[in-house]
Amino acid sequence: MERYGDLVWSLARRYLRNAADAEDAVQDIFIDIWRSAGRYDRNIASEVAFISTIARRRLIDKIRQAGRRPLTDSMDDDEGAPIDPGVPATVEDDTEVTIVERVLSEMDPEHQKVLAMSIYEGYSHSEIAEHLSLPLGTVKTRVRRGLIHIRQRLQIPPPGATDQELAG
Amino acid sequence: MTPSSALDRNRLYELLADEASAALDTGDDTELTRLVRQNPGVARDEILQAAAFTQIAFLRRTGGQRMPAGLRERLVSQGEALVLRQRGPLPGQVPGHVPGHLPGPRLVTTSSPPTTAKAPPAPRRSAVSGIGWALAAMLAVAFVVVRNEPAALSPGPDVTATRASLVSEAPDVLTLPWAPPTAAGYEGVTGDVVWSQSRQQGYLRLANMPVNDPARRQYQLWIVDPDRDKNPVDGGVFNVSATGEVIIPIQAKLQIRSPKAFAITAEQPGGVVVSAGPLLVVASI
Repeated sequence: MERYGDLVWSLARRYLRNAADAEDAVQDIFIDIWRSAGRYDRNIASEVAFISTIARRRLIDKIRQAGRRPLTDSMDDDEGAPIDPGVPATVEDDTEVTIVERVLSEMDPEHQKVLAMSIYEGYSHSEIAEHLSLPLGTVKTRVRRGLIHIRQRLQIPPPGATDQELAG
Repeated sequence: MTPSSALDRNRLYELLADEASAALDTGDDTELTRLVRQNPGVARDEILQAAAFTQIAFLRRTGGQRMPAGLRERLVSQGEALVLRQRGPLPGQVPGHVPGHLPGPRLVTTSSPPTTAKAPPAPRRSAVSGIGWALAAMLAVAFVVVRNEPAALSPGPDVTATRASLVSEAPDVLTLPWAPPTAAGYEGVTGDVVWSQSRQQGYLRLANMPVNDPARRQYQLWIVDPDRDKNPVDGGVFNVSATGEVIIPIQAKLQIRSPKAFAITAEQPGGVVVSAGPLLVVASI
């Protein structure tokens, strides 16, 4: 749990390049997390997925409220020392993140770029299309295919499956 | 409920992906709701989870940043206020006081689910520990509390006495001398680590440790505990501001189970989550 603070902060800094905006967003995110405590169920998602999802939703809200933001060279302009962002070391989380890393490494760089800009940096499909000079439909298709493929590789089980069924 | 076609299911996943990438418009949302209802075998958050892990994978690739101390402090205040509002002060707790340790089981109360609660949960294979989210949220508060300490620990006047007390009173205290360091500039460092597993308390004693410039680098202790975590546990950030012998209290950020080694690195101010080394001084069991 110790690591989630750095995780949320790192995501905020990725979405919001202005530190003051990132601080505001992180406070909102944690309040949202605390308030959402009652609906967390570990049978649905791991803690880190739950927190990341809340964080991303909030951050996207922030950037959309603030209007268009300048497009930067995503993934190429990291600030600060590269440190591990604090992915919790539970077996499940580690395994699932590793699976995703493997899937990403199998994608061509442009597909990775589209996915990173959408999922990791919160750019809209139209912003990505404009920045990468791609048709909007291509961006949409790549994001969809990428996420659906990752979901398949993660083998997220269907609702109603029991642990016994999954083990068997 | 109308059986859903494969076409509908494919469309459902497309819309779930759009939702996860925040690209859903109002019309799509209506369609998505209908398709989710027609496909009970698909959980609405399947793709959201995939997106969450994708986000973390990218973050791990590019690296993250440490949360600023000032922000942690504000989060402590906000978290405390929120918790007290929701649950009221704990027995024996003074309102307004933030406990400095991880909360006990009494804090794990069940809060009423908000009205926005999702559909009944779908069982999912999970290796996550059995703590409930209520506890997890409380731990988030505790986390910022723990982190709300001076980044640089300086040994107070009583540290020598408290160390001596630990050594003489704790039945399980370990005393581990530092191995002769080989890192350039650290060859002359001597001293030891004392650690009590039952008390989760310990001290570093360092002589001839090079003075650091806190604005540029700070020392960070790591506790190697493979039973606890594959990564060493953060044992606290500290400065050495004078030559001679210094005693540093260990500030383990997690419960230590079975320590195998203690190691010191030099890191950016504030420390890091995972160090790239090198290990400057090491004491092993």
